[in-house]
Amino acid sequence: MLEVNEILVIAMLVSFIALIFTGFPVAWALAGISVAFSFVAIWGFEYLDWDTYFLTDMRIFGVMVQRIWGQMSNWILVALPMFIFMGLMLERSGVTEKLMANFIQLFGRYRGGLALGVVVIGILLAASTGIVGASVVLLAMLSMPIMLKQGYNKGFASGVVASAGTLGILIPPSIMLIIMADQMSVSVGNLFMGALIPGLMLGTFYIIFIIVAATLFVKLAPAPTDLPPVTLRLVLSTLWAVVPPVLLILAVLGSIFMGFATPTEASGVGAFGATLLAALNGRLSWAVLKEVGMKTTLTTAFIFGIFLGATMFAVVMRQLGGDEFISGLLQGLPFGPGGIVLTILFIAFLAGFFLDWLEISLIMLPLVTPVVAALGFDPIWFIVLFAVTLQTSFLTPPVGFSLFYLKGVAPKEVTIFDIYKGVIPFVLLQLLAVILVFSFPQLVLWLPGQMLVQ
Amino acid sequence: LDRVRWQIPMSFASTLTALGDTMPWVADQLRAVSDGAIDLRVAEPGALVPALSIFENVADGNIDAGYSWMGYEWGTVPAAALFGATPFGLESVEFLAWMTHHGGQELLEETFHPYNVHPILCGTISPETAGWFRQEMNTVEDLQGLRFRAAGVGGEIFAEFGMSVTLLPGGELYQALETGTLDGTEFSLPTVDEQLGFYQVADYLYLPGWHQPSTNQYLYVNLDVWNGLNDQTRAIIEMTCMAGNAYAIARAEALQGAVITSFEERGTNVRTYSDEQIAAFYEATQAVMARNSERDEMFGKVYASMMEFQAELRPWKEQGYLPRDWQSRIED
Amino acid sequence: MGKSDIDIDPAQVEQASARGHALDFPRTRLSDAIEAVIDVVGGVINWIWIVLVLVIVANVVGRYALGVNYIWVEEMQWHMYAVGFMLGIGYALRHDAHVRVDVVAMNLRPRTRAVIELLGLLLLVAPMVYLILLYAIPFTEASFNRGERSSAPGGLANRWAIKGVIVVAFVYLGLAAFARAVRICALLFGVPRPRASR
Ligand code: NA
Ligand code: NA
Repeated sequence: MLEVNEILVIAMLVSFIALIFTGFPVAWALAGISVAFSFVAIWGFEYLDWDTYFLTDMRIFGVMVQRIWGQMSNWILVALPMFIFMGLMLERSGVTEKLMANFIQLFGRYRGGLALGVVVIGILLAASTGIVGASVVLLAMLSMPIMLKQGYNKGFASGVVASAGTLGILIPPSIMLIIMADQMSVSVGNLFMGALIPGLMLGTFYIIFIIVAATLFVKLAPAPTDLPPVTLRLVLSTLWAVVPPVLLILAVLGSIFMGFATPTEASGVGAFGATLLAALNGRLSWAVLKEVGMKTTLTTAFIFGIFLGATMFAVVMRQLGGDEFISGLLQGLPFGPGGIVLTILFIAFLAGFFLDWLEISLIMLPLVTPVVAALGFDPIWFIVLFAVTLQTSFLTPPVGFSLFYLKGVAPKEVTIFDIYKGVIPFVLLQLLAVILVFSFPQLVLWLPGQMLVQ
Repeated sequence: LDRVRWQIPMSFASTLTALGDTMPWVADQLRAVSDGAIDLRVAEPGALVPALSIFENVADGNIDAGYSWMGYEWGTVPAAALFGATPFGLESVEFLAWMTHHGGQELLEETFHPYNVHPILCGTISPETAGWFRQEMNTVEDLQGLRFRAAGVGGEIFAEFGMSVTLLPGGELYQALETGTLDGTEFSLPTVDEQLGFYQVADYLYLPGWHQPSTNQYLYVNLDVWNGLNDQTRAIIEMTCMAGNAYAIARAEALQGAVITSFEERGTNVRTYSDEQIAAFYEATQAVMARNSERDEMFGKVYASMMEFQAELRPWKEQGYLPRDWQSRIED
Repeated sequence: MGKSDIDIDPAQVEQASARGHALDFPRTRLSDAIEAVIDVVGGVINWIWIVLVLVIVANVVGRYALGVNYIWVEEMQWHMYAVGFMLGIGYALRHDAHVRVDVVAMNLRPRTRAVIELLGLLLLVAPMVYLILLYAIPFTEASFNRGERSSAPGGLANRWAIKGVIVVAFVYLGLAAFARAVRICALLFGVPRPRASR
């Protein structure tokens, strides 16, 4: 039989899900539900003699203010707007255009070559920054028209662009990993290192898949007939185009991994570097600075809006005994520790159809963290596993942000159903990566372990 | 007996020996002796309120009680630094003596009741390590320009030597040392430092912990809440915290010897500061203490009381006990 | 080689990034006046990130090249970040940039969505803003009365000022929500009167 506080916990989760489907902003749904259920609980405690665990009076709102202050004084998250700024500036810098122009000429002559070029650029972008929206939009606008003109299957082309653009959230630097590191109290640098190999592995899977699929199915990604021959000059020009992003990757990831800088310092320097690249390419102007500034405010704000809503939601859940209720449920599952982790990942995967990574991380991680810690798993391994799983949330319909961005900029003849069909193999590859990381924790733990050897 | 049901947010994780696991032990004992009537539930750092905001939350009445090291409060209550840890100050047993027999408790209440907080000493532990460094510190000049993590009034003293002092939370220190963001850090007991893995990323461990001869943690109770309890309940809580002090001292002392040996076995260079270095630290401490005593009346009053007791105790301490290194002396 | 650069149309990127779900409500004199204030503040906030980039770079150069490090400069970084995101939340409400799940909602009639939005603003956002303000004001006051400062040596004093940002940000957010509610009322009830020009 459920206790009153447990019924409140369930009612709160259900109301939240119901409310967001009305189209009301997620941040305000989280904050509003928290305030509403605080009132219900306080009232029930006062007048109906409910056992509401620790939620018994108005002081809960004082605690909420404290938690807002906790976010403000959390200097680890300073890196977040900086990486957002960097991503938006890089989008404007002209670096990707140069890469794409060269890759098209160099690789476009082979079957599936354009798709390969997209994935390679996707990986380079991912390792230099990590704003998924910006990456997908940029890759789509630069490559979709050319791929379709060359006779690529619409779904295949869409799948390649959407999934390559999504790599940025997994391959460090990543705002998702920064937020998760903060939630689980682990070091950002170690988490970045842990995610690097799984991220690159996933990119490699895409490459292998493209080569195999393009070879087996001739019509999927045909080669063109009329490209000029490869010249030394083209090869050099391509190499030259790769230099700026590689320098940026070295400046940001290299300085974190090799021990020159904190993630915050690296993010600020990276943002500065992206601005310099834009200036070198003649793309920097007051208008661009102003626009990047405004978009940084809006992107940062919608993330932190959900942050504040989720921190209120989490504290009300906690005061209602939600943590203990959920961990009791999970630990009561008739599986071993591994089975419990897989259950958590499966719930995250399902939630990913409707919610995006941010809500899932902010709502689920505080609830499952104590369970995972109690089971004795390495937190870095678990977070990376969770992060690889959440890759799918960008690609699974109906709510998948990479799909939306792609639909927004893809040529008119590409329908949302082409896109849905096209991402299926990539979602399967992501699930394969989840299984591999689950089975071989060394994929995550090896690199951070190497860095400890003096 | 009152029914008491409080959440106790802590500023340290419950996994850290003596530093973090004393309060969970006290909570278990309270449940046992009160047959479940006094039910305190500890909350991990940040789960309820930010780890370094526990005092202000208790003061503002957002929460009934919380558990923290008092040095974190010195931005608000300067004298809190002394009750938390005094450089070249009282050791754990001496601190207990001062608190119970030399007016410490009265001064504690005089300091904190104006903030509507009633602190109960609930876990005093052995000296901290004096610092983990990536390089050797042969003279105090070697400290110049280093980036160092330190908390409380100790931080101000380190700053006297030209160090740039920050207050990073425990969880970030490993990475910061590893990446060279920090050149050195102090954090806590050798066992706690081991749990945080400093020995993997810094080659030199310096002792003794002159900046923190004892580390004192308190159960902060909102004063209105405290006044609302009956005498029996208060006595049970106070007695159990006193037992917590004994438990914490025992636990902290029990484990440090073995871990120091294990550091040496794992290649850490365990060093002690020279007499000259210690003298320089002491001189700087006196300057900083004088400055703070002048700046804040309560700070001056508490410091004077502690120093008076330390002076009074000196003949006994120096003659009543064997010297700490008597074994080495005889062997030589 | 041929063209070395592919041209990209920023307007098209802009359009793609703007979410399809954005709800548009008529403007009114009252909401215009409030939103003008909001945009002035927002315009300042948008530059804070560029300043933050420069402060971090200066800090890095100072630390690694010149061997100097000031705690107050490090603290300035998170102060700027805090001001930026806290005020940004109201700014994002004004520009309807907060994330929505609109799989189901996009099939609803615009009027229904407007009613939902209005109810949400009145029943969820308004009480939340009110309660946070109710508790954030004494929170700031208490910090002022205690004379709270940073507990790091060389850190910033007057901590009440940064804590007070919560109050300012929620007033700002409340204003943005109010302006939006006014515009929805104009759509639903014709009061206040919508402005003809758009
Ligand atoms: Na990335
Ligand atoms: Na999805």
